[in-house]
Amino acid sequence: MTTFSQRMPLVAESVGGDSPRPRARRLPAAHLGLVPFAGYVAIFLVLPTVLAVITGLFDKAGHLTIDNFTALGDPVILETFWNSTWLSALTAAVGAVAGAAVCYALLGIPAQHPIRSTVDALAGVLAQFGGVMLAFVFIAAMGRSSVLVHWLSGLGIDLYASSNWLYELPGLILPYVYFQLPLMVITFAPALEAIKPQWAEANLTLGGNRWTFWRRIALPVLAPSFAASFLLLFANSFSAYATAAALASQGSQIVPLQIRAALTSETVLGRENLAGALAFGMIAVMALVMTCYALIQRRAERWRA
Amino acid sequence: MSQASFYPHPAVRTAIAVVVGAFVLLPLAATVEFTLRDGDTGHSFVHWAAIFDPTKAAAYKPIWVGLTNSLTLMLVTVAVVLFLLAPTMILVNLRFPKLRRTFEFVALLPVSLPAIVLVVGLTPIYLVIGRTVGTGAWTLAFAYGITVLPFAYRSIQASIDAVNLVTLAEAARSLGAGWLTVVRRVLAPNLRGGLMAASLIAVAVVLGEFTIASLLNRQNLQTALVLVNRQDSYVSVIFSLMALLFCFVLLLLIGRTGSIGARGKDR
Amino acid sequence: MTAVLTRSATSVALDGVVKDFGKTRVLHELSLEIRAGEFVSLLGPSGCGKTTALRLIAGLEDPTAGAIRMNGEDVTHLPTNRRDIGMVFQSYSLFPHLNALDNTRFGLDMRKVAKEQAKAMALESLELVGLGGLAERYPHELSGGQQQRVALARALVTSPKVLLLDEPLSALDARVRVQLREEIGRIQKELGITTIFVTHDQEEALAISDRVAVMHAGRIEQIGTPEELYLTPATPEVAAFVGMSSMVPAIVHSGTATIWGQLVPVVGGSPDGEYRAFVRPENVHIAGPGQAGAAATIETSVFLGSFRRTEARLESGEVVSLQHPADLRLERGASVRLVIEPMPVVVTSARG
Repeated sequence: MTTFSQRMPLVAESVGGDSPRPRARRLPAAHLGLVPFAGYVAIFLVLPTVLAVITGLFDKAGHLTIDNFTALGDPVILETFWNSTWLSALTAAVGAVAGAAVCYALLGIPAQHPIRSTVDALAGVLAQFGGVMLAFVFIAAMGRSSVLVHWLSGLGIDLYASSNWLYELPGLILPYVYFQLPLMVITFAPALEAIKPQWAEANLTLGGNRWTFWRRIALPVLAPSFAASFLLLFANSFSAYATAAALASQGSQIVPLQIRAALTSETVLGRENLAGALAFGMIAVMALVMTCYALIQRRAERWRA
Repeated sequence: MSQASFYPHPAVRTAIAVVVGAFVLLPLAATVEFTLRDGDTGHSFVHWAAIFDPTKAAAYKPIWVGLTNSLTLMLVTVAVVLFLLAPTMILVNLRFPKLRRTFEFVALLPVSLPAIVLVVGLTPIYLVIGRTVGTGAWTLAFAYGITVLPFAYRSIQASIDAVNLVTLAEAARSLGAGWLTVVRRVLAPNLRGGLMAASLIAVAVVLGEFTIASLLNRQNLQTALVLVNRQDSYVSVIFSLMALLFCFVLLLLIGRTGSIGARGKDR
Repeated sequence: MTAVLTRSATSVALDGVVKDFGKTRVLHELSLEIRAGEFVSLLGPSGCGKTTALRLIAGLEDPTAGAIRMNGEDVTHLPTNRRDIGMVFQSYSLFPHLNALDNTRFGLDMRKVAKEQAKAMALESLELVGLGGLAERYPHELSGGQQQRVALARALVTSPKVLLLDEPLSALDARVRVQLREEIGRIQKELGITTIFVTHDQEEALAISDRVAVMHAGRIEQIGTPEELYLTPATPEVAAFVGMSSMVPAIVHSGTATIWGQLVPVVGGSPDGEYRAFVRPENVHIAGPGQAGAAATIETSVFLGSFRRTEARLESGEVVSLQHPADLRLERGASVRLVIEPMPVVVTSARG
């Protein structure tokens, strides 16, 4: 932010330094330059967001109603929100811990090292990989006809004895962790790399040891970044749709699938425009999570500077 | 090694690499094995060869249609990034620095907007688009430009921050260059790294997009894979693996261009 | 005078210390005796081994060979956290999540000092460095100079045996640098703590040290008081690094150099032959009327307040700087004759 405020007077100077006539002509032109993008964002970002929120307020005939929002209190809907929440929290927690471990393992490896660029690229791909293709990979890797199931049955273990779990809610856990872990590597690595060797040395010269370094310096410094990354991972799981859509064959156990059902069949729980109310619920959760994220992130960056 | 070092012990490094490496690579290995199956026990490239088998061409046609649509979408989305987002960012940074924070807020907004929520709001908009512009798959690129926005913004802003845009533009202006020349011959070359990274990320995101296309009833690569998967799961898995490999190479390239940018800064 | 921060001073000795990083030897059998309560600077260009020497004393690196003693006691293999030292780093060493007070009391907490007492001692230490009012500030809320003051307070609060300063001023603005360096000198005198100060800035070293060790390529070239180093540099490296000088041709014969036809004593014994001599600007003068001297042409003359510094080119091609009162104005291109004061000079056979 300092660079931002430092640069401002510079710009003001350059604008003021121009001779008045061309400036008077150019300034509206410069404003016009903002119009195409502003229009684009208005139509494809702002308008859909507003529509998503307010369609829940109308019934099919176009009359104002809060009926759809009362549906958010329906036990079925509450359960899907609860499912989405624990699935997101669980996979974010596992992904955050495992991803942080990977960042720790990478400490001290120079940025130009091939291991580093390979891990970076792999993490980048896999973090974006959450989708239909990921579902296919997991079905091929551990579905009913996979090598894994084949081997385990040779050992007398039937992976699918009790349920068809891969295609139900528990089946989402491993694929979700699969894209959460690399996202953690991407978001948390900069924080871990910002730990200064001088802190460890200062700790030693002041009479501390390895334990006091981690307990009293490194972990407290990393805590905000870790929490922020966890929230980002939570939001990522919470909004994921494609993997679940391709994997979960029946039922709508999580909110995005419930929205699909509302969009495609029009009447879920005998209500119209329920999708809008569900979308509003998701936006509310996401807004809460992202607000916490922004607050924590601000603190983490203050320490890092 | 210095006494003060807090780097992991080599054994710890190896242990983490083995455990996480197994979790990441074993499913991929098992998937490769799956595509190589031939009958109940044998292995061969029969399913890979089948992609180009003319007798199955009709069954696989949706994939080629979807792939073509996805390639078109990539082009249009990259065009949105390069010719709509990037010039606006340059303009904001040069002439409207007070708008920078607002702009950043808007650009990062889609991160907290799930695609499925966007779809709810986009459905009525695309009904209008379908009636006026048509139902061509390429129209999805406008929605994809929004999903790509946060990533593209970060890449481009990073290179804008690295090259002190204002001084650069003022220097060029003081040498008598017009604004168009400044942007084309001075700013764009200096932002090449960020523009490149933004474009490659856009390509990767568009290639993997399913939610919006599926619920707005447009065909792209991902919807085609789901469709074909119902009859022949091998081919959809093969295309998934190839898409994964393609994106991996793409991101290695981003890493490479990123390091070129860093070296350029040292100079 | 603060009661809690004083203790009897400690001597430090390095005895034939060798340090290799891989195949590169960065310290060659370094030996150095530092008396109790003394302020010694290690001065040299980057890569000369001065920081490595300091880190060996701190125990942050292990020597390849040799011994390190404090008060005669061998500490060569004692871990850093049991050496009882205080250290200030170049920068970034304050813990970002702790305020000035909690940073300062960190060493006391490590030593399990009672909470209230630790707080009182930390506040006293912050007073000592002039930051008593900023105890609640976090590092990012402090200027660079203030951060280094907190680092100093943190290093001093445990009353360490030795204070180690690793270029603590190099990241600061010129004005803050001078101010803080004077303050470090004052606090060191007040506490009487043995202090080792690493710097590449010769002016800084000369200004605050009791003795300065000039290092070059992993060896100590000379150790002495600032005056000794300036007036009688032992080697060409010291002469070149400490203070300003010009190199001029000289012929040495039985311990005396002939420069511009004048006889000048030579530092150390050099065999007869042709050399180049280091001459200080203040020892070069413009010849008076009728006086002999070397012919030269004025190139530049810069006004520096109380004096002027002028560069003159000799007929043999060398450029010589000289210093003279500001009222003597010399025009570019003017022909002058230069004479030298008969102060001892250092000579070198190297071309340079």
